[in-house]
Amino acid sequence: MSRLGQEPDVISLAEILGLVSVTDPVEAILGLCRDRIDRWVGEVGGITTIDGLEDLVARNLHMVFEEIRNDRDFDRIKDVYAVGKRDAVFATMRIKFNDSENPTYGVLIRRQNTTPEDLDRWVAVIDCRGNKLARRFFTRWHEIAHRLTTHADQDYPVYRSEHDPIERLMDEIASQIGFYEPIFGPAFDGAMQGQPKLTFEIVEAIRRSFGDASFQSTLFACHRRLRTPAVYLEASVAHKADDQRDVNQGVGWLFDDLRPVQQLRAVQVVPNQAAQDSGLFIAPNMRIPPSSIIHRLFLDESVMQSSGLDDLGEWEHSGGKRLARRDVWIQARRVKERVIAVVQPVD
Amino acid sequence: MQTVGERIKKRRTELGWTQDVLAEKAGISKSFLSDLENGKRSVGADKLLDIGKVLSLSLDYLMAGQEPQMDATEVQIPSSLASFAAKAGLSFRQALTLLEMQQQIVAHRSATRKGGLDKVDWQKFYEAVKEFLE
Repeated sequence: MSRLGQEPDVISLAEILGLVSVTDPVEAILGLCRDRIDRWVGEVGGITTIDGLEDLVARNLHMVFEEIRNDRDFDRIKDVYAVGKRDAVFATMRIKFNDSENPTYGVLIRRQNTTPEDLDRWVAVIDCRGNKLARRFFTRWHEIAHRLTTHADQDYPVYRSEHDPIERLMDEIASQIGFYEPIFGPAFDGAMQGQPKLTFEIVEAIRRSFGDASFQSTLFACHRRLRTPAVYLEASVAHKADDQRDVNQGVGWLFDDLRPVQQLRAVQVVPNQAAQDSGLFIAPNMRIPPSSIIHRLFLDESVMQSSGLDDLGEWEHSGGKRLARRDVWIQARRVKERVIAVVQPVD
Repeated sequence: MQTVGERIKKRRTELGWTQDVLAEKAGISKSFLSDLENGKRSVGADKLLDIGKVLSLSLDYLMAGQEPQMDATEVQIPSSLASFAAKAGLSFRQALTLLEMQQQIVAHRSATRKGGLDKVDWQKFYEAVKEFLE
């Protein structure tokens, strides 16, 4: 079971949903969501596009989307809902989404003054301005995940950061149902036909059939679906875990040369199921060796993407111990201050 | 021991509601409600939540018969709202309306903030909606 499945909030949500005595609450909640969607899809005789699926699911959840693409949208939403439908809370969207200290991606609002038949009993307002646009697809499915799990029905509003267990669970649900297997599976299999490795080019090709899905969310979906071993990795400059703890606790260093140095590290490591089964392992937060293409890409700001062979035997823990020798093919891409990469064995 | 349906029926009759009234409020059909009350059908967690909300009953009570711990009609005004309302000279009714509006925002996803209603900037919130307040 994942760590997320051991979080008390997640266990509690599973119980609220009637999923008691389950071995893995995350899987159980995911299964519940899939079952609901499968039922709705079955009722209409099937769905072939992800946009069609979103329409269907939103309709069944009595939910509509409103998007903020520019400042005029705040006035439009206010006119439609606050003035037209007597739901004054919609007049507060400007202050909510323009809070620069606390960037907000989306909110889900339960409307007053509705009848059970109204299709807009719930309104998800999504901020699509600036760099939030890249998260549009994911945020829409994230809000659907809230409705699917009925967590949004509770009495008190919930202000959560994206690191909160429930929000992470919603992300997990969104990443799976947004790439609904009966639609994503054939697209993935078609794109992978005859290809020995998952590449970023394949991910881009699949992404095109998923409307506005971001490269990263599509990459996660492909990585999870891949039946051969692959490790997703994010590299950025960071401290060793012990040093980071000292820094967080405000420890001071008398001499500069004793001060811990940040190095390029694998700050996020996600093996897919096949990688776990085959023992393809990279320790979270381990240093990226200078010889690795990941490190070279990080240093060369003129290059956005690179690929090549690597030997995991060159990867060394702080204590000096190295990973087992294994030839791997790595494709890496620069994303702001990080490098994201997929590591796949050559054998 | 009472069934889920019996608990729903008991509460509905306490409120003096017909099946039509409860069915409409909970967004379910009258025939479904009738079958549910008579133990002929089971109900999913999502619908049970809807019914519980309308009847002011907890899921614990509906599913297991455990009595609710709190008075469902009790209203708790967050201290930050109470303090703002006093400063701005708002009536209790107006403060309650602000609270109800905030409670319509049932999920809010942001990069940093944790916490609840006490973190709301009530001044800004009030400024945005005051033209709609009675």
